[in-house]
Amino acid sequence: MRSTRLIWQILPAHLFVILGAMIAASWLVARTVRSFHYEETERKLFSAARLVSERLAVEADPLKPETADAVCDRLGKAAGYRVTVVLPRGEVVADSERDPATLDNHRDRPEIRAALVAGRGSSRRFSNTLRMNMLYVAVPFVERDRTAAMIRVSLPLARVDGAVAVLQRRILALGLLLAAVAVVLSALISRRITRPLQTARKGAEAFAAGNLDGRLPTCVISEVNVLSRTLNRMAEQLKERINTVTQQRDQQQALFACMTECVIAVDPDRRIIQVNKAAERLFEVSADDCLGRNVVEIVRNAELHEIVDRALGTDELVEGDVHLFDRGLHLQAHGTALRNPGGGRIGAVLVLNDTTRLHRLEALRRDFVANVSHELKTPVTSIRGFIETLLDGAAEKKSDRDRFLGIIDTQAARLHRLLEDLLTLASLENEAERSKIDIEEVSLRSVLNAGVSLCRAALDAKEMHVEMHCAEELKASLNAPLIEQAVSNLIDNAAKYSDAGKTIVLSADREGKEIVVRVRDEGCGIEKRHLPRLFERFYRVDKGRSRKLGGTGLGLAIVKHVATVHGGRADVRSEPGKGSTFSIYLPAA
Amino acid sequence: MPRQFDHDLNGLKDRLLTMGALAEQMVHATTTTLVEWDMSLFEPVAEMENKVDQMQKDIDEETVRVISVYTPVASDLRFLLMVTRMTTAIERIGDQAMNIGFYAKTMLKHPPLKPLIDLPRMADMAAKMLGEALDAFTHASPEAAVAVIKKDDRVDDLNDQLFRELITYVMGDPAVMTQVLELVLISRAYERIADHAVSIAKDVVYIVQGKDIRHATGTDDLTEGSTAREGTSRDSDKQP
Repeated sequence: MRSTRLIWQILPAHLFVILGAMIAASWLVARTVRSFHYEETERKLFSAARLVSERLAVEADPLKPETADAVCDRLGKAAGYRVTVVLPRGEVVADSERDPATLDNHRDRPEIRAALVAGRGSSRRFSNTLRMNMLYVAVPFVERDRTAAMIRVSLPLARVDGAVAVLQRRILALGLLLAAVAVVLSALISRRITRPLQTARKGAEAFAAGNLDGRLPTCVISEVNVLSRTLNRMAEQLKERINTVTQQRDQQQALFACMTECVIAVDPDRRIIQVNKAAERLFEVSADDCLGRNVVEIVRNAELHEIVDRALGTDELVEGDVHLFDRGLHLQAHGTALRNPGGGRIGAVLVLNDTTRLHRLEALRRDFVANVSHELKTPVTSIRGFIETLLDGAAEKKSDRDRFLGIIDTQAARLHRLLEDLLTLASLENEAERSKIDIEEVSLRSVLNAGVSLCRAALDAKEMHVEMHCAEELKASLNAPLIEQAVSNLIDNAAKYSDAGKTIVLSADREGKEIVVRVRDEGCGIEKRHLPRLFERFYRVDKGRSRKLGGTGLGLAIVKHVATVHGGRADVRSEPGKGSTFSIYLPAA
Repeated sequence: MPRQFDHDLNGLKDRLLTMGALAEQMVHATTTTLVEWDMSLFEPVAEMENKVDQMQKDIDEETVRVISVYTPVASDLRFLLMVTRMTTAIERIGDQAMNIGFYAKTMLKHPPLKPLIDLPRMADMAAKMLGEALDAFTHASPEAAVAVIKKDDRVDDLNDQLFRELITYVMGDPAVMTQVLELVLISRAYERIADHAVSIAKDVVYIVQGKDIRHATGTDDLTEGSTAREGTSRDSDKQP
């Protein structure tokens, strides 16, 4: 519906009523006045006609044209009427204003005919002779009981009509004046009504714009007051609800942002609707960059897409593992359909858990069990094989027997070493857990010397020399046997992987709050990709070679654990072909 | 152009990237198979290969549909034409991954001839080039694409180096001939994968700049690519 201003609703009705009333009044007044006038005039004219008739009667020969014409002229002039004498056959005998000879037969004039029948007649019509509206009355002129002629008296109606017209004009003028007053009044009334409405509108507009703190004032119109109060209440409730919703949203946002799991919501086209902070961090994108883009543009990973597709295609909870191989990350993904409040499907939500660490630990455990079994099995198999050979009769020949027993001895020693190392590791782990090792302050140099002497045999075999840099007075709080073992493990390693005759540098220094023991060799070095896993149990850079050299695969693991139980750490720096430096960091006293 | 057209173009882009992701996964699986010396890691690849083949058909069909329905021009047309070329390249990468698996099957029956050092490096490089080419396509970045193209030489060098090294093994002990041959073929397959990645990168440059840099020699031709005119026509007789 087209809306208009209030004044246009009020004004036309007012104007219609006023103008209608005025027109009706003027019409009624004009009619009444005119008919009253006509009757009065008619009466006068009848009187005049009778007087003319009486006057004619006194004439000797009344119907002689000269006589009648003279009388008519005289009386007509005196009274201001037009007086005509018509014979019953219709010829005009006399007329006060015209020459009777020029007038046609008057027999069919309505007033004449009525007068002939009823003794009097009147008519109002347009006179062709005088070219104006006229009122005619006619009475018979009786001479010797016989109608000898008709006396007709007439008067122009212009005067009467003029008077009525003046009256009508006045009434109309008054009507217009009243209409003008009505316009002004309508404007005033509509203004009275609209001003509070305007105020209410402004207030409502402010509400609409979000400013819910303002309140609408009360005013004199009670209907508008009700409206204002309702609007105020609405604003209050709206504000309350918005507060609730905002609070809930903030809580959810905070929850969403703080989650360590990545959350990604996608629409049915796999376009991203929402991501949380964790997802932004994981995929190294900002939310602004990835909203509206396809998941595939952000993370190109077939496993992830498969899960997204599955989540989009089913109502069930789907899950799967995702390996982001270019980043070396393992993720566990859960996906489920995303629905709007109406229950319609609008996409899917994925929750990604970073399981890289778990994955690594799991792999470590698996490897460890496999490695331990393998490492234990090799010497045992060998020992059993040679014992069987001996039992089968090889013991008869002394040279064979001695050789086989020698091998059995070596393998048994290796088994022993392996078990020793495993036990050392196990006890180190236990002690680390209970943080209970005996620590005393000792001279570091003596400990290092003891460590070197432990692997004297290996060094001598390859004619290697250890260069020691350690201040005599440097003291450290440590468990001497453990550190001795760690140092000897490192020197042993350095000896194994270096060519004969090279030098190993063993140094100990105080660096800030730490004491660093370093073992530097000039061996073959280690490739960078092995370094992060080097201290793992049984981790071997070169599987065949290490075993051939007699290692248990636990040496560096022990070094790391020794450092850990002292509250320190171990690390390695290496360059293939140039050599490696292993360091043990111990907290200084 | 109607919005439906844009939607269809984006859909094609996403599907192509999904296909690329599968190919990346396949290449990665071949690398781990070799590095871990464990043939079971290769098992999922055959299924992925089927998927890649199916996706190639689907995407090409959709491209033909989009071209015939909308009769696109300029960069949109270039995009659509290149999509079909890229699906071919990606499908061939999948084929090469299958080849590597095929060669590895015989090779992995024996203990390794020597520690794998250069081969994984090559594999990583080829995989990275594929990833970067797809990134360049994602972001419509000719600069990134040119960077991929420039890397190709290094893969080729590694391939040559590996080949020479392996020859010395054969000369030392002819018995290792079969294993060396497998290694040579595998390294050749990775080199081919890198070549396909380069071809994808060149297609990206053509989409964005309308400049055909296939068969361009030297890096000067490439760097100058950034000033190429939009919508340049190219000689169509150079189809490989």
